[in-house]
Amino acid sequence: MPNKPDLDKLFKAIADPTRREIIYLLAIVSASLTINEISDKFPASRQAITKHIKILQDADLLKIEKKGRESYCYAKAESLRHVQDWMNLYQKFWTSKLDDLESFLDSN
Amino acid sequence: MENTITLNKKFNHPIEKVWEAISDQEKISEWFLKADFKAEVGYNYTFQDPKCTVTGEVKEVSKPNQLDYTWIVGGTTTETSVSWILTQDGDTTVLDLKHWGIENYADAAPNFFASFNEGWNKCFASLDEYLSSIHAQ
Repeated sequence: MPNKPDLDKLFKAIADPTRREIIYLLAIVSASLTINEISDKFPASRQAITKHIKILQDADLLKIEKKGRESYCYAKAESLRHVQDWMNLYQKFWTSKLDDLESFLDSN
Repeated sequence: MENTITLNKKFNHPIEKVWEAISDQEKISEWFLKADFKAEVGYNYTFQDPKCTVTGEVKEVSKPNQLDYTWIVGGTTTETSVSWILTQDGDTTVLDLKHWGIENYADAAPNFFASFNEGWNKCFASLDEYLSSIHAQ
């Protein structure tokens, strides 16, 4: 489906504390940072941080823009704001739970 | 309201029995989520499964017709609300379930990031699994 966020990727991307902290840095602390600047803030290797950034980019949580010789990372926090996805999630959650309630009542 | 979930379901059981199932912590623990719950206004309840915690405060208790509480998923700070309305119809009971305030999650993203805690992690792992299971169907 076009434009449908890949929630699977999204949730996997933000399940990792380092990746959450990267997005936090970009979304709250600084508007943009180079990969080196991000890497300097973490004990992990630059290679490991680059991998995290790639995963965030794939999940549409982060975008990279080249300016001259540097690549700048920006948060795309709007990807987290899928109210409709919460709606769908709860719709399914409650539908399934009310079925469980019915089974419980029927067997007690 | 656009961002309210409304579900309606009829149970072939008397209203008192349905009321007990949604308000008694032992019953809730059997079919819903492991519960520390009292149907008393102001009670701060906890629903828990191995991966996810939901907390909130009981807001309205009108036995056996209405039970309202706030609903906060572990690690998030977004308060949503759940209301159970039961109506007796002969020997059957009609349930109207409403869950609203879900649009508040739109503004919650920065708060999600502010709380790097285990509960959050687990909840999202659980959501992830849940979503995977939906996609798999």
